[in-house]
Amino acid sequence: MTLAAYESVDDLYLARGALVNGNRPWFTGDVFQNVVVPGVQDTGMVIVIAHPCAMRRGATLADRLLVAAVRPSEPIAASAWIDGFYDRMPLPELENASHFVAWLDDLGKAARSDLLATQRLACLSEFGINMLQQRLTFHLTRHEVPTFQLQAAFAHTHIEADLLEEWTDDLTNVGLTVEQAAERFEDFLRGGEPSLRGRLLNVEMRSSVRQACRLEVKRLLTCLRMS
Amino acid sequence: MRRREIEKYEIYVNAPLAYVTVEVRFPGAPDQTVGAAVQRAFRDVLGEDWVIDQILQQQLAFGLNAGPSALGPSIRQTGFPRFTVRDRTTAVGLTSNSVTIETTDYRGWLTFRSVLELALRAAAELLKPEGVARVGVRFIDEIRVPGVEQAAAWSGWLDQSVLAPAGDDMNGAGFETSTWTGAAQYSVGTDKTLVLRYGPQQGYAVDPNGAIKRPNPPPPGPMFLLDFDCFWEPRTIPLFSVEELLETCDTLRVPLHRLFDDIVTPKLVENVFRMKALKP
Amino acid sequence: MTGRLLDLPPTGANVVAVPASLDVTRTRTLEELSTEARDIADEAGHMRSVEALRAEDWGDLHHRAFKVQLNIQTVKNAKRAPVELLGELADLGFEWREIARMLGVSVPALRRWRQGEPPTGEHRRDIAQLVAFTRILAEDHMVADIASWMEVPISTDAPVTAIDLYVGGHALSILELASEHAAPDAILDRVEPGWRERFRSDFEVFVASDGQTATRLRTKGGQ
Repeated sequence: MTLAAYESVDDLYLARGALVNGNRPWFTGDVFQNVVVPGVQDTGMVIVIAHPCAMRRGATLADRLLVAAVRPSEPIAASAWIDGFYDRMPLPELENASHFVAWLDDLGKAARSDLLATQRLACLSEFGINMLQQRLTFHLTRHEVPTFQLQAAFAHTHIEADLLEEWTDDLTNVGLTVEQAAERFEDFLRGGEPSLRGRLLNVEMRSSVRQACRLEVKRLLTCLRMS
Repeated sequence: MRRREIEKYEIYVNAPLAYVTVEVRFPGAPDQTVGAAVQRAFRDVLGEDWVIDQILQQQLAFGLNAGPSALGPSIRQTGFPRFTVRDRTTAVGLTSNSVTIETTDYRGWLTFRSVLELALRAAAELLKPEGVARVGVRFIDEIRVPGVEQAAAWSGWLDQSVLAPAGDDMNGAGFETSTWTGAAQYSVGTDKTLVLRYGPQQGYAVDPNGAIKRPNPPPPGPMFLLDFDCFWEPRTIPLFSVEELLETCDTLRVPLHRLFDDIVTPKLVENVFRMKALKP
Repeated sequence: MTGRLLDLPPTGANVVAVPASLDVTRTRTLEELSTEARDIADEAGHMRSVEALRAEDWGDLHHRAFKVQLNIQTVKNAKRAPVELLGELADLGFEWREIARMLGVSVPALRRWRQGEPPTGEHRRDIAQLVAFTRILAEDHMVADIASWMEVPISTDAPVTAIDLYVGGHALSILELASEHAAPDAILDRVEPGWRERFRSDFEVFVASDGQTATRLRTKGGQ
């Protein structure tokens, strides 16, 4: 019985600390600090474990998001996670050289307003998110799902988040708010038959969706600059 | 200093030079096709001004060993790429055992040599030839003199040695010289040979409408051909070194130019080669 | 071109020995090369040796050619601004995350370059090389929609993509794939030994009734 393992700490994270892009939409694997989780903790770090599909209704974030408590930990070797510590997710060097783990038993719902009021400490990489979901699934159900299978199933959600981040970066530069950018993105992605969002489910169509989004951003930038 | 030594021959404003080629042969399977990837890489090395023009077909006759039971030959075609500049006056051909650089727009040895170096370096890098089998430099001159139409009229324009034997005497006796073709071979160094093929001809030695184009071709008509072929065929198999090949080509030019200078008369040089007005 | 007169059979040639014409090789023009006829002594043996030589030499020769071509195009691209080169990759439809992987850098680092921060000389060359690579595939190997082609798994039995191959340093394998000189399974055998076992899965992806993707144990007929 072996779960996925990381070779380097950098494999787990998309960004940490000051490198976290504030325009990146909230996503599974995001780590926040100073968050209340009723029945779990009065304050402290949390990691979002809600599935991307359950986090939003359209462009609007859900009122409450499923999170797990994150607490400091002694360093544990990368290889040890393959067949042990099934009730946790490693977060090595989360803050400078300090090690943390996410406790997959300490789950609860955090208010959106609490998350909005605090700072995002880290975003996991695709691999890190797959590893988190694999460990959570195994801990709750004793079912081992290969990470490549999770990647195949949910890659389109990562792509959508990346596109929204890119979109927001560009449009906030010309004066739109993050929310306004997200609304325009939602409208655009719903367009077409099948919708652009639907096309992301097909791996062969993903590049064309990216091209369409980038062209649309250029068009919007031109319009916004002229107005 | 070396470059001044190389480029010391006058380039005439109305030069008779129609074609120059250098061919380098090296050991290799003669009919192995040069693949598309190699062609593209070769083109990229030559530069943006070059295109893969066409694949020339090479006819190879196959036959079983000779003898009473030998069957007739069968013909098989294989292709080799030809790279050309856009106006098609300079081209490079590449086979699995040779690289050829040719031009009808000769602008001096240094200019031609730079293309030669490019092609040889590309061949060296891509094909990694194991040695050198033959290096040949060929200059083809089509000498045209206004008013010279009969074969017998070349007297005075060219050295007597390339005219028909006893031409004046035969003409004087009423036996008009119709035409002649000559060939001479000179030993010009260790394993080095100069061959001259010469004689009056009609039309062109180098077809202006062939695969290689001629800029401003003269009108067809009587001309005197001087086809110089100076080559080195080593008895050993020396290494394929681009620098040494270039130096060899530099060296092969020397006897070729000397022979040319010996054949053309000062009258031809002054009244034809240096005359601007004769350029179309 | 020349020498036709000397090739005419002279009078009495069948009786009197004729002085031999020049017994020398000729520096061939391309036209002469293309019409030259040569006799090959043993067709069967020759053809066998040529075919063997072809199979053995294809890899070396074509790899060499590709490296030369890639190098030339990379040098040319390196003169362009990195922002422009990255923009070209984005216009092709690549995901920034995958571009970062192929360049061996973090996504935040790539983001800074996109915003104008100059990359190091080595990274600048890597960007130029990646653009050169995509162009060679698209223009010389006729790969249409290069980003999509590189994103799709090379085999239905493994989630390995051409992007993964590039990240793993197997650019030549991508070339073999594009030129159809190697089958996907053969490439996987070479770059990911044991891949069949590693990627064997009892799970499959499906679209649930709410329109979202999910995973489940494989069923017969996908029901």
